[in-house]
Amino acid sequence: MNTNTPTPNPAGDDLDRLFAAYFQAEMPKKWPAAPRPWADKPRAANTSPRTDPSHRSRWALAASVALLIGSCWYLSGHITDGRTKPQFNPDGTASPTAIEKNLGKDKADPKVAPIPGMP
Amino acid sequence: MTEGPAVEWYNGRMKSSPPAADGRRAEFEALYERHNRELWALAYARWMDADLALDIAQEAFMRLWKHWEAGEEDIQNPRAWLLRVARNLAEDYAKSSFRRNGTTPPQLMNGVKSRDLMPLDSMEKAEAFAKIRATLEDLPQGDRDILTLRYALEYDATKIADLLGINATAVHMRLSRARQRLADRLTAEGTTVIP
Repeated sequence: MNTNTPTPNPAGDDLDRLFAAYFQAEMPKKWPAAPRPWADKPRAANTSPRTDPSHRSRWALAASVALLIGSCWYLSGHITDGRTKPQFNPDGTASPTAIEKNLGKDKADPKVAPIPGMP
Repeated sequence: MTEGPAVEWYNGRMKSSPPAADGRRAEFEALYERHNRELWALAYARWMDADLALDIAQEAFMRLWKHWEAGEEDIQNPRAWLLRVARNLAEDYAKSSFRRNGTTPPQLMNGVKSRDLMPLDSMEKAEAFAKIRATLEDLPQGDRDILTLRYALEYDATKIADLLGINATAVHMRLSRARQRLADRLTAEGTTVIP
């Protein structure tokens, strides 16, 4: 049995023609050529994790996070480069520079009330 | 279409040892020539969108190539594999963000594919086709599959049965019912114009 056999009913023929015309119109007029994935990736056979785009993006993310942490650390003053010095020693006592500054402030500030019995 | 060793190598006899690069490319192109239209038809039947169906068919073939490249499990039946991938891709499209939030699908444009003014007969034809498309969208998926294969690819019952994995008698029955359902709905909507 073959569906290509013409239907005796004229109305059926019209329907067939209508449906065929519709589907034929929907089909691409020109079919695209076969994709050529080998042309896009000539060395695809040697693909390694290093060339994986997701791998690269992970490295970029890690580098960005490291840069962010480094920047925060630097800006918080924990890094000394000769221009800034720590206000406190690691054991919690004030550094000599800080003591000198504070002493100078006490002397220069007239608003500080004198402590009775102290020179 | 070129027939040769690459084509013979297809057809359910793919071996574990990969062919040489040129042979593989020839095989890939032969498969494309053979099955591209079938993949398009099934994807089209799912979404009634010719351009999307083309994209799905192409993507299915790209995945076949990637599968070969990855050297994963043998594909005993490339045609069945491609059809399954195309169906899955078409289903995935339903879940994609493009589908949920994307642009207006072409099928909502009443079949108007050009901004050029159309002659009256072309407009009538476009209107009739738009009604057919809208009616097809309301039919069950199985009806759309079988009607697309019959009228777009002009497949006979045997070929349709082979592709859908059912017997020819079932194809006749389903085709007859699908055709009748489509005709009834079009008649109910007053579509009597024969382009």
